[in-house]
Amino acid sequence: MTGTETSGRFTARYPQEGTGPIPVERYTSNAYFEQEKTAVFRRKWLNVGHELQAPKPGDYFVVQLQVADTSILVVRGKDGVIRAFHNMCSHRGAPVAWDAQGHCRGFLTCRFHGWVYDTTGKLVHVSDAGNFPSVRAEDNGLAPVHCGVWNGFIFINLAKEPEETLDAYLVPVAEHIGRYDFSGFVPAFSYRIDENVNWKTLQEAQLEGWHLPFLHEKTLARAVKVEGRQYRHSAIELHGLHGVLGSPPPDSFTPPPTAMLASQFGTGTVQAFGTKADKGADGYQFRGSFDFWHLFPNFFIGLLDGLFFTFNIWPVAVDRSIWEIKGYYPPVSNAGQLFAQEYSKVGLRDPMMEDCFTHELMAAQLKSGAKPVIHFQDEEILVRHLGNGVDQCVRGLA
Amino acid sequence: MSSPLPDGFSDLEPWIDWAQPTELARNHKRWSASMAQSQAFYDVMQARGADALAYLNQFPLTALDAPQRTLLNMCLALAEVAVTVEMYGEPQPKYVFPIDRFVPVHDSWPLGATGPMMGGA
Ligand code: FES
Ligand SMILES: [Fe+2]
Repeated sequence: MTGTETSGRFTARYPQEGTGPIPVERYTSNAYFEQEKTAVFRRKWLNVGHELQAPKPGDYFVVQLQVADTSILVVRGKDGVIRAFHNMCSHRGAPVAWDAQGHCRGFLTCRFHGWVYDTTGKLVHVSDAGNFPSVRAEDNGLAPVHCGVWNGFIFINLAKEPEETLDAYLVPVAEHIGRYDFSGFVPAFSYRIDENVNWKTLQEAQLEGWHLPFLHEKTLARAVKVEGRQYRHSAIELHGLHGVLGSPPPDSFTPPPTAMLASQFGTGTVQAFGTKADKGADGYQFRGSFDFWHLFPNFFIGLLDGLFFTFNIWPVAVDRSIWEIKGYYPPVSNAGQLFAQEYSKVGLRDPMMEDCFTHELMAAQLKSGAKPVIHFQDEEILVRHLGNGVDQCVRGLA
Repeated sequence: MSSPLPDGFSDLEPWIDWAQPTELARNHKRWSASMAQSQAFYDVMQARGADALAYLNQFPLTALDAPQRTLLNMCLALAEVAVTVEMYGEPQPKYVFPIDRFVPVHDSWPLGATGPMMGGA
């Protein structure tokens, strides 16, 4: 790798990440994208959702995984166990579940010709069985996908045999994130954005806070500490292929009137950006007023005091991706709490809409070929880390 | 004709078109309002929002009647218009991705959401 050394604090701590320019080809080349599909998405553990999306036995949801040319059915069995299958009937390949989410009474029936599967994937009924003399039910269950649950987060692995267990995959971060108390939250919001952008470009604005005083000048900038015009992360840590960044709380934060109104009725913005209550020796140690954890290759867990949110970024093509945003809050029971949650949600949403505005413009311009490389600085080391991790996978090194 | 807002809140009627039932619709309202309209609605909700929420808090969220829902939706619209007034200083800021493509999936969830709607048990 070429490039000059910097005296940057993170680069000094993680010299293996390098400092050189990044080839634009990684964002625009179809050939590279094909390699990412095999070397990353068909090998690594991928988050597909949260247990709260299927809380009761028989609940299910479907995740479209264009990056692997499949759709995945995640279902909670009668026995309470979460399982994942390719959403494909063994008869002629129709989807078994036709809705994005739903509930069944223990059996899923293909709507095409009525073959029936139980929630463990077993084929339990072949319509017109007498006319299928060669079909043995025990050989024609749903095709299972390796699936595991950690702290409520559901992961799958598309490899025939995963190279490591989910627990091993999460070892670098489990001890840290696992300290957060994930109990007592319910799904509170969900956004879905279909964008003409490479999946790495989409993630990159979430992997550095340095852009906050610039791109989010009118919105988020007031809620973070800015030195001169520069934002300095309170922490960036690399943990294996994963990593975290902490956002520095402002020296003083004067909440606007609506935030004060919201804080009279519920929790949200003011609490989230305020000083953190001491969570004790075993509690989660905040690196900043909010911490963004990145789980390689495409999953984020954003931790704040009193709420958390997740991002799943799904490649569709080299220049198209889906961004799924899900937020979890304590349950609301009255109008005041709902208002506080709404205000907090909108405050998170609008800066992300500002991020989105850049994605497609950048993607379109990267294609021009005008520049062969782009650059990342010390505060952008987590962005570099993602690209390095992907590239190591592509080159067979990770 | 029955009144569209609960007793004691008829002074908010001039702004009733802000009472939209979904985030998408409230955001559209925010983006289509003039700055003067936004400021006027913001001011009245700063003055009356606390009363409205204190009143609504007497009832379970899932048991609100139509006028109460309208009042609640006006309060939720304050969360949108606050961005116009407190952040951007204009109702149509440039360089923001459109909400029509930033789809609020939760708009179809039940009020006081406990997550995606699931079929019967
Ligand atoms: S494709 Fe499912 S029963 Fe025919
Ligand atoms: Fe951003």
